[in-house]
Amino acid sequence: MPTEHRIDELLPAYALGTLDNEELEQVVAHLADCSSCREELVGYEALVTELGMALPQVDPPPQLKERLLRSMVEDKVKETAVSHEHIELVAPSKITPIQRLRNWFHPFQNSRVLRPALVIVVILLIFSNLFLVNQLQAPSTRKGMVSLPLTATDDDSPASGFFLASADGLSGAIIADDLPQLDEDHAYQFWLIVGDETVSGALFTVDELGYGGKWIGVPKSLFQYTHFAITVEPAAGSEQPTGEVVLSGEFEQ
Amino acid sequence: MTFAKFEDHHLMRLVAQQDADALSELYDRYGRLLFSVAIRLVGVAATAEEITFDTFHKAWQHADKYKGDRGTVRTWLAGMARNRAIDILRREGVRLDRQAINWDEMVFEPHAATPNPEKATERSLQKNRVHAAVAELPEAQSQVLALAYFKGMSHSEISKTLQLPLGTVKTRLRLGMKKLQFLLQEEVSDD
Repeated sequence: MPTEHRIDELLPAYALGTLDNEELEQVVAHLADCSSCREELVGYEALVTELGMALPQVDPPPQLKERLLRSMVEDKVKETAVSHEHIELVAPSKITPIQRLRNWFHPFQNSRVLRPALVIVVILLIFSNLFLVNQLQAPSTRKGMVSLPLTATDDDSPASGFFLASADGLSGAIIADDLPQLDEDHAYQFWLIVGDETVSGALFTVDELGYGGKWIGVPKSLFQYTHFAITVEPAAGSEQPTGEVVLSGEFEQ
Repeated sequence: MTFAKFEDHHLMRLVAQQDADALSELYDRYGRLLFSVAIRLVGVAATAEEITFDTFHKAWQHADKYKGDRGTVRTWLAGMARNRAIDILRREGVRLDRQAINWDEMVFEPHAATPNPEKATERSLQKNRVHAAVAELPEAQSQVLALAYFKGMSHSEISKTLQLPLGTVKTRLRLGMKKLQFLLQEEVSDD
């Protein structure tokens, strides 16, 4: 069994990626339990990075970035893909154009410019159906997408919003309107809450009209959460809510 | 929202929430570095492109695995790219031409006209610091370090290539890295 002293001697080679397999396994196992070696390793890994920065810098081909961004959108589409059998909108007469619109909408999920505009179009089509408009006052549990209104915590605030979840709860979107536009150092953060667990669902900003929205990604079905809230947070987001709650809602189970 | 002012670890948090614009900003910051490291190791632009793509794609998929106490985001990304390049080198066979590798690649470069002359000067100074530190290493340590760094050779591969005992290779590599670390830290504290 190698002594700690010996493992310490192997850290520079580990940072360089040059350990033989047996020694590599020993170091990996040791690092799991030794915080001082992990700290020392940080220094060696930073040195290896610094050596890399001193190399002649070569620009990658421009298409590499486009390819990377495209792959991220494709990953997101695969992750949140909801088959046409699962999404049934309330207005049968609108199913075909909305489904076509959804197919068109998927590639733009991560577009900062197009996403809110496209979501407006989808929502306007939904709202054009009077039956759905009446149902928006309460959580909808009919087959198909679920919508939940979010109301302002301040009675004087004109802000409103709603939360959409797919029938299987694996994807969703948050839309908000009439929220005050925040400065560069702040953003709105959407939270999903059940019991003591609070999970961040999305970070978004609003435009000059107070309108904003975002797709939601969470580790488990949206229907496992009972309460939802939007707070004002630092622009990079927070691990837990720290700011003022501006909109909230809850599922009635 | 502009991400230019965000710290790297903030961007990683956003990437963990599947924010593509945050990853795009990280790519703008470190895509060039990763590609440069990769192409220096594998020597083929197409392979270096794949390594760079795979690294950022992996960062996108596993951003939640990044831990700030394990080093900077830059080191995390560059480390993944370097390890991927070394895996490819080992799978495809390492070139054993010792003449092809040397530290002189880290040469002084007068900074070209750039929109950000301050950053370019800072980079130039950093390169010169590293080059000067490497130049202070004993030839024996420098040679072993060059094979490890530029070729991703393991201890035993270096031992075989240079016809040196394994223990000697390990010692020279370790002492070389420790000396570089000392010299570069000393340089920073003198500033």
